[in-house]
Amino acid sequence: MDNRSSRRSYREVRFVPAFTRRELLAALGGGGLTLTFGALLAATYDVRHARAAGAPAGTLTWALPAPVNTLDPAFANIQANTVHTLGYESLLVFAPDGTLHPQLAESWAQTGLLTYVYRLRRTVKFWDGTPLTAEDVAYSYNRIRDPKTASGWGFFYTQVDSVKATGPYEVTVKLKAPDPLFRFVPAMAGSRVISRKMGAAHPADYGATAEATMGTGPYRFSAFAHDQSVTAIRNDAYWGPKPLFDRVDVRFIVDQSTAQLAMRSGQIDGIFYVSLDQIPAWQSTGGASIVSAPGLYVAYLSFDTQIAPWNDVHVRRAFAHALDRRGLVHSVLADRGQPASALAMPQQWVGLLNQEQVTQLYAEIDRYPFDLQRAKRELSESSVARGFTATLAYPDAVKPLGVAALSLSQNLSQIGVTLNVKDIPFLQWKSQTAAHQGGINVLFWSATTTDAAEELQLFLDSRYAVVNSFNYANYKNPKIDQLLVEQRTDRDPKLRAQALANILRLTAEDVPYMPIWYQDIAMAVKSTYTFDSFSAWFKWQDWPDRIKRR
Amino acid sequence: MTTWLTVVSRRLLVAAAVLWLVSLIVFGLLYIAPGDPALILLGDAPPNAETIAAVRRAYHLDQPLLTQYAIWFRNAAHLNFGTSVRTREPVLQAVGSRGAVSLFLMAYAAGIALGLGVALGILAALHVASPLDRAIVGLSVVGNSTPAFVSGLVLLYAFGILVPLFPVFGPGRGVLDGIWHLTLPAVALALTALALVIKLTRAAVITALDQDFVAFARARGLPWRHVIWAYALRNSLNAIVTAGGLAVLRLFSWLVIVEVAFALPGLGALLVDSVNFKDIPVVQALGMLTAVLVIGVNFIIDLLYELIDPRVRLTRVAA
Repeated sequence: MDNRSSRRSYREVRFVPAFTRRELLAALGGGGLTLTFGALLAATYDVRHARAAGAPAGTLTWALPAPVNTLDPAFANIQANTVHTLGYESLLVFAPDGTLHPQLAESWAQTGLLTYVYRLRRTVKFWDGTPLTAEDVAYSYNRIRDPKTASGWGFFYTQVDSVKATGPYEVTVKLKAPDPLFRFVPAMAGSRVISRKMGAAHPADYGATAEATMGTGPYRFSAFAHDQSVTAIRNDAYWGPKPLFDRVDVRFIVDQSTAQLAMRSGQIDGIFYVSLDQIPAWQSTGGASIVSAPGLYVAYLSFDTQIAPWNDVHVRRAFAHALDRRGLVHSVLADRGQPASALAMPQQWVGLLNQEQVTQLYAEIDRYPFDLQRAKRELSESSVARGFTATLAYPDAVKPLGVAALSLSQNLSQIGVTLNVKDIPFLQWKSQTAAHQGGINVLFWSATTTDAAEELQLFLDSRYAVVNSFNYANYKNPKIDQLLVEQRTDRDPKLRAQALANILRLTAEDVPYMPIWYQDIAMAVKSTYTFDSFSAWFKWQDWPDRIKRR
Repeated sequence: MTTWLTVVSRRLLVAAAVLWLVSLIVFGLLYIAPGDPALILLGDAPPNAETIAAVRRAYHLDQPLLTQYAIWFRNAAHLNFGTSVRTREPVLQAVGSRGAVSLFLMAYAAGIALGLGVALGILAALHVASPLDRAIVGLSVVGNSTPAFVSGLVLLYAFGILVPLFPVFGPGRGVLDGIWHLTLPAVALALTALALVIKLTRAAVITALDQDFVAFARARGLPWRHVIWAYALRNSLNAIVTAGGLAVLRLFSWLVIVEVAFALPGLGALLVDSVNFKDIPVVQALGMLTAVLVIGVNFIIDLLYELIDPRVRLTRVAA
């Protein structure tokens, strides 16, 4: 059970130091326009931590369970971001507690409701020795914003009016409308800074080969064998502390059994994104230890609130009561997760609520314990008191969602509801949910920020109750829309927290979505090594440097 | 008299027609398969209409099916198969770089399957109904019914962990390192076709040994070895060549599984990743490549038939 204790200590690391700083911030922000100086935060947290003596050197061989498709940050997904962080850097990064800290920026400030100013470090150079300037940053951001680039990360720039170099080492971003999530954008996977010269030289194939890349990171990409590996070698001209390894080889091993054998034979030193159902297999693999931490991942059900029978709140509540969340966390996630009671995750209240307040809020909105009697009562008050038949499709590639659906179906059969569960290809599922079809769907979401507004804005705003947007439940509640506007335009964290908490309460009452679980992330590392402070944000902290010999 | 030229050109015409049909079918199937490549490319972020439109335009997804096909066909006729949606590599380069690993693996596995299969088939035929025959046939049935991902894992565990002679994954660098890395996958792959080769070889040799000319040759007092090589085996060659062709095609179909199991960046793995991503240009190119392979193998086998057996004539003498 050493993993449990490591998780506990992780939580301590994560929550305790964050809140003193937050209180400091709250004290600073008297009201009206707060000046959020990043430099202030930088003083209290060193992004790069000291290395133990006798730390490993040489080549690190690491595995990922899916191929990285491109070295272009514009198309970064979770897997790719893990590799991109070796070669690229961003203005801001996440610390292991989810707070934002400067990296390429020396400091940053929000100088008005709509204006953000970033001052760059002056000593940063690209791998080829060219100094990093504000022009490179502006170029990288405007490239993501350009619809022609077709980057999924462009969505997060929707409220951006302009990104300009306002000095050789100063970048100014102006928004069209207030966006409380924008402060996270400079730390997102898509916002990693690339060289303007290299980007312009490869308009159509930037990142398709190692040669067509240029960043400022501690490593430089030296080879990219598609569907096989990425090799990164140490950047000797790096502006920060010297990286630990001479070379990092990232290999893609899709088959988990093969990865386990590779670990056992000593051919790989570790692997990220171990799926939770594979943990017992990894534990029985000699020479590997599992490290896990709370992820930023929620699984949930959506009900189409515009069509029968899902437009009846009693039906939705009956389903909520029939869902055995605790049992599922135990059986599907092997207890590496928590039952969920809101789409916004408990870790997403950084700067808004302290841990005690978060716990209290989530206990308050946790209104649907697993109880078939109550489920039956809710159903009897609904328009379909005698039961009904429906179909729930889950993506074949995400088996845990299927197990959740089957368990729900079994429970519902005891109150007279027939829920047929079927698996469909991932792409079909993606199209079906994007089109808001199916009536009831089972979905998952990985968060990119530590602000509860992320999910609440995307999933509950009535403007997004349209095809290809994220309000899958087609939920329209004027009260919630009003609260969303309030939290967007108000910069007082107390008032924002209040508005967001009220949204959670209203949603718990109406259940347009039924959250199922929050899931941990897990990795395996060679048992002669340890991995220091693993968290959902490990990708922002030069992860090879966190590997120590035991 | 029909000359070789007409035979080959007729064959090429038929091949072109088949290829065209295959390209149309694959394209049509990809078109009706669920999932929007634009949504996949954009990842998990909520797409905005502008971006979706830009992606659709870039890959001609906003055009009707026939127009899309016409664009693809025109480019393909100039050997331009487009760019991978997933990796933005040119498709020919993507297929070429993966093809080397797959070709090497296929050749290695075919060598094992044919060499071992023919030898064991002959051995079994010479000792029909003996314990040796039963053992060979029994083992080949076991090999045939074990899916390659199972035999692959068993091999990995046995020779990668218990007796660590071979590496567990990856294709290696250079020829010798490549052979070392690809031995286990090649054996796992060869096992899928070995039973087929054994079965067909054994049956053909048994039939040949039963013929009057064999009995007569033996009656003339020719040495056994000569009878087997010059009479029995020579007359079984057509069946063995057929088995070889079938074996190669079967190896190709198992390539996907073996490459994924051994983490080899070959064509099979490329196909899986591309289908998952609905990477139309790559899947289309791989469909064409598969068709070319099937047509090519069949043509080579037909040529071998004529070479082996003078009674078979591809070129007909006018009556």
